[in-house]
Amino acid sequence: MTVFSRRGFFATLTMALVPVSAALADDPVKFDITIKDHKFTPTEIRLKAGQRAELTVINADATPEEFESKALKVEKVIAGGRRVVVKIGPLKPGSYAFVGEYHEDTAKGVVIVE
Amino acid sequence: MVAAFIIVFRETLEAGLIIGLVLAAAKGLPWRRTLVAGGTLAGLVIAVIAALVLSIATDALEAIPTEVIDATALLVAAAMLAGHAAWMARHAAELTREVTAAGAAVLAGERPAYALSIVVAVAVAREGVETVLFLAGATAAGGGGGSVLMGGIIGAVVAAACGATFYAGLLRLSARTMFAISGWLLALVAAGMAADGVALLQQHFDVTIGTTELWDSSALVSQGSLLGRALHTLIGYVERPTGAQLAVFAATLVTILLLGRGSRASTPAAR
Repeated sequence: MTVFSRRGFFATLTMALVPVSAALADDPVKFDITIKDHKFTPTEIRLKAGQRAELTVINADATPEEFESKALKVEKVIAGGRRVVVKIGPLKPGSYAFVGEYHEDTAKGVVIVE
Repeated sequence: MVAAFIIVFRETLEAGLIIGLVLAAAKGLPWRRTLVAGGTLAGLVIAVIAALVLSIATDALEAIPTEVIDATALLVAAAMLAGHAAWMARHAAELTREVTAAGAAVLAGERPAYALSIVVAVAVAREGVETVLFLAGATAAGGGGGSVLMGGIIGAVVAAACGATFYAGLLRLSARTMFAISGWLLALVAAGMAADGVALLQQHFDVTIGTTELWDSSALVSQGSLLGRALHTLIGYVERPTGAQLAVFAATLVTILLLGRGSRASTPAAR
């Protein structure tokens, strides 16, 4: 809540802007994720902290799906039989869930950052 | 049917809330209903066209930089909203005062009314693409298509009712409070859209400056929940904001405050 006090706010803002999460020169790691029968394969993606990744999400179903993750800040709709590329990271260690929004009960996966 | 109801309701709630807010903020403006209806219609047409393009896209078209298009739409809408919020701040007194019809017209003439149509069109189009694709896909899949469509229609109607309730709630307030609240909400919506737009551009162009996550309040209010979604729309709530998102959010608010204040001082007639 200190974020909302004036001094705390500017301190947070400065901290956020100055150090920068070191614009990493590394190329993003690439992964393919396939949606089939409203399920992801693989359901788990592992990344190192601070790494960028490029996920190619292939929708092998005939129906559209929305690749969504509030944690990864991604929301992208994929028509049936299509693919999209989603860029994520750099991320802190932790787990970041993603879902297929149109079939949330089966289409579940997670990005694990260590 | 229940799943379709929930999905369509969630997607259309954002647009419903924004339409309600814009209608309230534009109170007193002639043609406001026409402008909002026009924006809604334009948004729907864009949504259907975009959904068609996305579903017939060949491999070459898969390279469409949707993030850039989405971000551009968000930033344009944010600028329009910011302009309107600042205008409302500068004319708070006239807005609140009982104005004659002629006075209202003069006031309205000064206001970039089409800007609100654009904001509505962007909100409807963004959520509409997803809804149209979902409904088209679900009905085309066969088996229970009709019930999916029915669920979707009910979802959209309930979302619209939420927007209407929000609008009616705002109108119950005194004019002064209503304009103050809707002005602030417009400013926050603008700030949230600007932050979203910049985050999309950062992702697309691999700009990692300020992408450090500042906090995680997902345990408090999950952004995927209905409350989280409504808060995201109305006040730009993000459960895990980055430094850049917060900076853009704050910069947008400060800009609106300065625009709203600066000109008020230079136009002493507005008291």
